[in-house]
Amino acid sequence: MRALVDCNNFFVSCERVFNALLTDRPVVVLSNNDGCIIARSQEAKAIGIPMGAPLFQVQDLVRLHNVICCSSNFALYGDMSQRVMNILSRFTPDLEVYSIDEAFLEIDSLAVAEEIRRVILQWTGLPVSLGIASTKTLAKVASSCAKKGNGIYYLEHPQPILEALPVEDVWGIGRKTADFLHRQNLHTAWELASQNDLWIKKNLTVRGLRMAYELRGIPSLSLDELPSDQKSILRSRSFGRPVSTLEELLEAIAAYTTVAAEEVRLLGKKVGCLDVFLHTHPHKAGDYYSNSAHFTFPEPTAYTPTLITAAKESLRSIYKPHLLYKKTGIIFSHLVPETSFQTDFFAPPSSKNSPLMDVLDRINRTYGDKTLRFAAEGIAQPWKMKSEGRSPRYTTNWHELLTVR
Amino acid sequence: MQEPNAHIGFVAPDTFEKALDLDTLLIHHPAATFYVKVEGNAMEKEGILVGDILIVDRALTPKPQGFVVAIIEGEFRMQRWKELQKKPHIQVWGVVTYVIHKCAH
Repeated sequence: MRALVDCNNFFVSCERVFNALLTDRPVVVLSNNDGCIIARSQEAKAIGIPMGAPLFQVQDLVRLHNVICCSSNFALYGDMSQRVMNILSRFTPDLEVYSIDEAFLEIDSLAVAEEIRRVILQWTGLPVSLGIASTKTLAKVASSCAKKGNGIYYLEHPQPILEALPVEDVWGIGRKTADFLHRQNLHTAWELASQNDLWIKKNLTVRGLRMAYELRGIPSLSLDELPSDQKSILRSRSFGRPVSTLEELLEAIAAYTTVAAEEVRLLGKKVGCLDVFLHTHPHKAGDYYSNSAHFTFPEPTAYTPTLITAAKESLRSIYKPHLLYKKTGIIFSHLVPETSFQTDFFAPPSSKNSPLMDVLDRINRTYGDKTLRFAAEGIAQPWKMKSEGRSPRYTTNWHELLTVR
Repeated sequence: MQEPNAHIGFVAPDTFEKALDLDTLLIHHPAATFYVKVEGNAMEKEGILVGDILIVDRALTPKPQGFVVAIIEGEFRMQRWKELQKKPHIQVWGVVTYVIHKCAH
């Protein structure tokens, strides 16, 4: 069975592990520069704070209900994510990390699902839910049922659920496609899955056909073919043969970064943070090494050379020689729309085409190297970011540890 | 990066003795291990002083004689588990496995 493990309200849950005063309270996490709401606790959802809303728009609700606003702490979230993925990889080698807080894995019983939930909660303090089904697309459907219920949902008989699932809620169906399907009088996931193959292929391409197969319970999508979630972009691959040299790893990471950067620009977004991870084979004899490095950009960027420089620096910081690496990859997170991007400390939030960015881009193109170094220097300058309510970096900075009396 | 033995012309990875690494001694569940700093002097009697760093393993089950980090009325505290066990509303956060104390100041 395929399971989708999803960390509940991930960013808020990370904050709660280290701050008991956030328990049972409405809590939100704000984007870089404290602009928009990027995560909400269950309590915050219940009082009607919408995802993605600019803080100023919900200021009244926030005051009325005493909502706690945390600035984002991606160093912490990245580390906690890595811990969750490490724990999952103890259960199965067949693990596919889908985003900072989601992963697919193969499990053979519901007892294993219970055990995964229990271990992750005890070891990290993070609650997770598991959606279980025969394919990834159905596991995603099961996952939303799991969140409404008790945290684990096995979608054994999908038909009744799919008959009630609006077609636009199927993973990977965009608004345009949904409009088209509604015009064809296809309103539910089940109706779509029941169309004949030729019709689906003709109107929705091969990808649509694969999705239909998935809805019918036949695994047809690999991780790379899944629709990108809006929170993050992940690119990684297991090496065919183990890789040991830094040069090879750097090459791989540069390649993934280039592809992911194209995807980001295609989505009309910029990258606020990136994480690089690498690990050796988790199920072979010898020492298992796994690590990740986090990088927060002083300003979000979609500029490939800047992204590559940051990715390479991050990889260098976690690379250990004499090991045989099985996998490396990159996660772009905190994606912000290009248009609403604010140059916080230089200019007021203003026009679409910030003249500053134009200038920066021109400089970048002309003096690539120098500018890149300037961006890389940002590694050690997180203070430039406005993040007034950021929690300490409990797990990545010796000077910001959790304290006890 | 230059292989350490490149200049003498051979590398035999199997024969490398790895230098001791504190992580292998102190950390048994990396994904469940956190560091916590001591700020108060409540544990002075036990020889645990302000500024010490605790290694906390959340994968372990507390033992009566052992130390835990627990949440008491919204605050993180360190205590012997047997002293907390019977109190209500106690949530164990993790088991303290080692204390790092700086001697040279």
